[in-house]
Amino acid sequence: MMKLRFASPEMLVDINEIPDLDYHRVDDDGTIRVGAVCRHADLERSSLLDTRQPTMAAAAPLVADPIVRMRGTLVGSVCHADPQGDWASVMTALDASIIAQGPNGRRSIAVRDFVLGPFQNALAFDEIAVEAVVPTPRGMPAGGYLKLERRVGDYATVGVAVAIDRVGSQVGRAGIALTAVGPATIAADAAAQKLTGRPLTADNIGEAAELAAEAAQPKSDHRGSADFKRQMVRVFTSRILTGLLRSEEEAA
Amino acid sequence: MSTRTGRKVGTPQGVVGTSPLRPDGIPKLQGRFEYAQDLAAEGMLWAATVRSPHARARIASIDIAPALAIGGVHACLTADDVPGRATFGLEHPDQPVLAAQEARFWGEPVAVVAAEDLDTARRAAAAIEVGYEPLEALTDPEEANRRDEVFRRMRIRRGDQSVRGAVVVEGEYEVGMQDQAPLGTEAGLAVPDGQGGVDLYATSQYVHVDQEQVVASLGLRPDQVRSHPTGIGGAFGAREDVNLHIHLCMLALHTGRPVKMVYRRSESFTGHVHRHPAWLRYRHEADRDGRLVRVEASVVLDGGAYASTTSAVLANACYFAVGPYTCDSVAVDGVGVRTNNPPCGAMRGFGAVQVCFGYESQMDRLAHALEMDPLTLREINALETGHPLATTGQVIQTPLPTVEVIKSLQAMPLPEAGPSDLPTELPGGSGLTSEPQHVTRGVGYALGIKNLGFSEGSDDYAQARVRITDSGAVVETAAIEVGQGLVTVLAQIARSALGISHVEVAHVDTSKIDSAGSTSASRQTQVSGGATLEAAQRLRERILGQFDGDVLDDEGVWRGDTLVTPWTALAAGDWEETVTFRHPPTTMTDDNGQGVAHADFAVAGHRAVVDVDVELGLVKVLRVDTAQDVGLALNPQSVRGQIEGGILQGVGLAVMEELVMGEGVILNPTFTDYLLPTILDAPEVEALLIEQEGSWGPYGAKGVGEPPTISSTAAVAAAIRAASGREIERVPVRPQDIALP
Amino acid sequence: MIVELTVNGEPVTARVNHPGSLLDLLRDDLGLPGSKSACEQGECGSCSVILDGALVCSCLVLAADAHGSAVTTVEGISEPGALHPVQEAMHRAGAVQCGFCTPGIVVAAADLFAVNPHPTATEIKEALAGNICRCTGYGAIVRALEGAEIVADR
Repeated sequence: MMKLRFASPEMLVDINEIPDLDYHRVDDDGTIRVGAVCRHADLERSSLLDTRQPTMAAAAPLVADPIVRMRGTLVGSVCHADPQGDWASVMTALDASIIAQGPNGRRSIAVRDFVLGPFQNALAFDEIAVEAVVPTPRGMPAGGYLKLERRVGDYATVGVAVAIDRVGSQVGRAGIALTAVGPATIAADAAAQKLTGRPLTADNIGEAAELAAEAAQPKSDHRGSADFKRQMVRVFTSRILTGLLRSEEEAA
Repeated sequence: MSTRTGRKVGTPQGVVGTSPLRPDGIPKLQGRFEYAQDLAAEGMLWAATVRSPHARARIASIDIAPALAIGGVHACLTADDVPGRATFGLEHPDQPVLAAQEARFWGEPVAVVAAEDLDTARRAAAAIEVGYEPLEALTDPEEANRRDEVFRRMRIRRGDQSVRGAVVVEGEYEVGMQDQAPLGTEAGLAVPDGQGGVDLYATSQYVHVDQEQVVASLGLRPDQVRSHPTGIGGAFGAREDVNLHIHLCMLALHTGRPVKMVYRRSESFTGHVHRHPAWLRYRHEADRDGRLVRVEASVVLDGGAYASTTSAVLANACYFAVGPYTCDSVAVDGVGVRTNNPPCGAMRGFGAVQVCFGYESQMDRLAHALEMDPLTLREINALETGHPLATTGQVIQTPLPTVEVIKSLQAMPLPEAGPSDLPTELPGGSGLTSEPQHVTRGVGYALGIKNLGFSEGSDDYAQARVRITDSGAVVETAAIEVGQGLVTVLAQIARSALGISHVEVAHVDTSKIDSAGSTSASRQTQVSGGATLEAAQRLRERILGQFDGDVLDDEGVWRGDTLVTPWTALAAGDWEETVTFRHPPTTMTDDNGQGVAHADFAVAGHRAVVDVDVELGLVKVLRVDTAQDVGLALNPQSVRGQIEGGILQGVGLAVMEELVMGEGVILNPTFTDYLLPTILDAPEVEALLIEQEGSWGPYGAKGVGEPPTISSTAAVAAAIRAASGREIERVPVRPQDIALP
Repeated sequence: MIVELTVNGEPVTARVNHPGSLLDLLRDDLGLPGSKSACEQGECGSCSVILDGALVCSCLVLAADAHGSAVTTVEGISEPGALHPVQEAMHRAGAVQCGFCTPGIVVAAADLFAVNPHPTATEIKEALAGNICRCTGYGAIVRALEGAEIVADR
C-alpha cells in the first residue's frame, strides 16, 4: 500500500518481531494452521502441503515473485484483501478462517466474511490477524490454482482456485473461488455446488465452468476485457477440473 | 631531438573491428559511475513539479501562497515567471515551458518549486492550489483529423496511379503507444555561475539543442548557458526533447542556488514523449508472379498535445511505408494529428517501426493469397542498391544487401520441434499456466528498412576534436553516450586513424565544442565517427609532415627505423585538430513526396519462433534470429549488444508494452502496470552481421541501433499469426486478441 | 527514529523519517549511490541489496526495518580494489550498456553465485527475473554469468 502510495500511515507496527508466528503445521485431525509471519517461501518449500493440501501447494509458487515470496506472508496477503491476491481465493475455496486477536481475546472469521472489499478486511482497529486455519478435509483433498498473468510477476489478470475433497468416487466437498474478477475475491458457490455429491464428469465440469464464469464480475482494464476475463475463468475452471478427472482416471 | 633506432613493428590495440572493453564498464559495475540522479552540489535545493490532473483544462487561477508558507520553500514559479520565450520544442516551439491559460495533456507541468529538501519540495508542490476548469478533451485521432487539428500532412505519389494488379490484399493495422522506459528517470542539476549564467547537468541525448532552448526561454546570451553531458540511464528517444531542463535553470537563477530534480517513475511516463500510436490502412496489388505493382497506404499518427518531432516521425513513416521493396506505383497519405493525449515523438525506429508492422503483415497476406513462400515473395520484390526507393524515388547509392538478408534468414536452422517438456519453458513460464497439449508453435518473418542520419535537408553535422596528450590522444565531443558504446567506438576510430593504442573520449560541454547533433537516427557512429576519423587522419598527416616521419605509433614519430620524435616531445606541442563532418546532403521532398530525402539506409530481417497457448492467449517468444546490414562492424560486441537489446524492445512492443489511455489519462504509468520484458521473456538470438563496405560512415560502417527494433515486432506478430491462425492486426498482441479474437 | 545497522561491514547510525526506505537511507544519508532508484515499487531490481543474507529490493524495505541488520550493497560486493567474479565476467562479456540496472544485477548475481557457483542458464534467468535491463536484451548478461566459472569461496 505504501509503495503504491495508497497509504501513508502515521504509525506502523512491526509484527515481524512477535515470536512464534512463523509456523505452518497440520493438526492431528488434518486442520492446517498458518501463522501470521509464515512467509510465502516457507509454504512454497513446504513438504506438508504437497500431500495434504494440493490447492495451496499449487498456489504457493505462483504468488508474486521470488523476492516478494521471501518477505510476504499468507495471512498478510489475505488481510491486504486485494481482489488480485491469490491466497484470499485459495482460502475461500478451502472454507478457511482467519483468527483475529485483540484486547478482548481471539475470534475466528471465515475468509469469505473477512475480505470485505478492495483493500478492506473485517479486523477491528485494535486487532491483528494471527493465524489462518484450513478446516479438516472431508475426504482426500485435490485441487489446483491457475492464474493468468500478462507476464510472469505481473498482478493476476484472472485466477481460479479449485479445492475438492474426494470421498470414494464422489466429490464430498467443493470450493471454487475467483481472483481479480470483481471488487473482492469471489466465491463461486453455485459452480462448486454443481460438483458436490456426485462423481466428476466432463459434463458437470462444463457446467461448473459455465457457472464459475457467470459468477465473475470482471471489469475491462489494461489487463484485459471483461469478456476475456470471464472466458479465462471458464477455461481455468475447466482445465483444473479436467486435470483432476484425468489423474483420477489414470489412478483407476 | 633525441633519436632511437630499432623499431618494433606492432599494431595498436583496441582498433576498429575489435571489441575492446568499455572504459566506463568497471565504474558502472561497481556503482561508482555518476548518473544525473547522483549529482550533488554545495547548498543544493530540490525541485518538484506541479502537473495537470486533466487531459484538458482551463487554468483559472494558481495560488502559490500556501506553498510559499511552508518553511524551507525558496521558489514557486509559474508561466508568468518564464523570463524569455514562453514555449519550447525540437521542431516547432509550441509547448509551454509551464502551462499558462490552458493545460493540454494529463501531466503537463503547471508550476515548479524549489525547497531545502525533496520532501518539502513535494509537499510544496502539493500545496499549490490550481483552479482548473476541465474542458472537453480531444482524444480521438480520427476526430482530430476531421477537425484538421494536424501537425503535418504527407502526400506521396509516385508512378502511374492507374496501375492495377491481378492479386489484391487489403488490411487495417494498429500499433499501440510504446514507452522508451529508460531505467534512469529524468534528472538534472542546474548550478548558477554567479554572473547571471547557469551550468546544466541533465539527462539528454542532445546537449546543444537543450542549451539553445534554455537560452531562448531564459532570455540569456548563448555564452551564459552551458549544457554538460552527464551520465544517463538509457534514452531510446526519450531524451531528445527538453523536459526539466528549462525548469531547473529558471529555479537556479531565481534562487541563486544549485537546484536538483529527479522525476519519479510515474512522472517520467508523463515527462517524456512516447512512440506514436498508429493506425494504418494498406492495399497491396501484385501480378500473378508476385511482383508488387501498386501499394496504397494511409498512415495516421497521434502526435498528442504538442509538436515535438511528430512531423519528422510522420515523414519517416510515410517514406518507409512500402518497406525494403520495389514498386513503381505508390500512393501514401499520412497525417500526424494534434490531440489532448500525451505528446509523442522520438523512439528507436522513429516511424519506421509502425509502418513495418503494416507492410510486413500485408506481404504475408499477399504471399498467402498467391500461395507463395513469404520469403520468396520478399526476394522477388527486394529493394537493392541502384533501385529507387518505392516512395520517394531516391536511387539507393550505398550498399543495401536485402537479398542477402533474406537468404541468410532462410539458411538459419530452426530449433527442434516443440513444445518444451519443461513447464517453465511454456507460455506463462514459471506461472505454470499452460501444458504442452495446449501449445502450438509458429514461425514468422519480417524485413525492415530505415534511414540513417537526419533527413529532408536538415543540416546534419557533428564536430569532434582530436588532441594529443601526454599519454596518447583524447577525442573531445558533445555527442551523448547513452549506453550504446559511443565512448568505445570513437576511441577505436581514433586509434585506427592515428596508429596509437592510448585514446580516451572526453564528453565536453556546449561551450567547448560545436554540436554533435542528437544521439539518435542511428547516426553518431557515422557522423561523430566521421568527424573523429577525419580529425585523427588530418592530425596524423600534419604530425608526420612536421617531423618528416613515415609512421606514428605509441612511442612517437618514426622515420624508417629511427624514432625521430618521442611521444613526450610530441605531447609538449599543441597538437589538435577539430573537424565538422557533414554527410551527403539531403533535400526536402516535393509536393508528391519525391526527392533525395535520406543520406543512407540500412536493412535488417528477423525470424521469430513462438509457442502459443491459443485458448489462454499466452505467448512464449523462443527465438528471434536476425541478419542485419551493418556496413562494417567497428565493434562486434557492441553491435551484438545493440541487436539483442533492440530485438527485445521489438518483442516488448509485439507482446506486452503499451501505455493504455483512458480519455487522455495514462492508466498504467508504473513498472507494475506497464510491462517490460524480463530476462525470462528474452528470446534466444542468433545474429548474422552482413558487412558490405561502401557507406560514407567511417571505414564503411553503418549505424546499427535502430534496425533491430524495426522488424522484430512484425516478425513476432507473424509467428503468432502462424501459431494461432488469428489475423493479428494490432500490436502489442494482447492475450484477448488471441483467445477471443 | 535512530537506526543502527551494518553496511558493507561498517557500523553506521542514522536518523530516518518513518516512511523513508532503506534505498533512500543508503543513497541520501550514507553516501552510497550505487544502488539505483528506477521504479520505486520493487519491480525492476535496480536497488537490490543483500539484507541479513537475503536479496531484497531496498526500495521496499523501510529504513526503520533495517535497524540491527547487516546490509551489503554493490559498493561492498567485492574486496576493495578488486572485482567480484561476476563483475569481471560481465565486463568482459559486454553485459554493461547504460549501466543503470548493472549494480542491481551484480548484487543479484553475486547472491546467486554465493549459493550456486555453477548455475545453468535457466537458474541464472530465474535468479535475475526481478531485474529489468532495458539496454542489453539480457543475452550478454546470461553469457557472462554462464562463463563466469565462479567459485563461491574464492
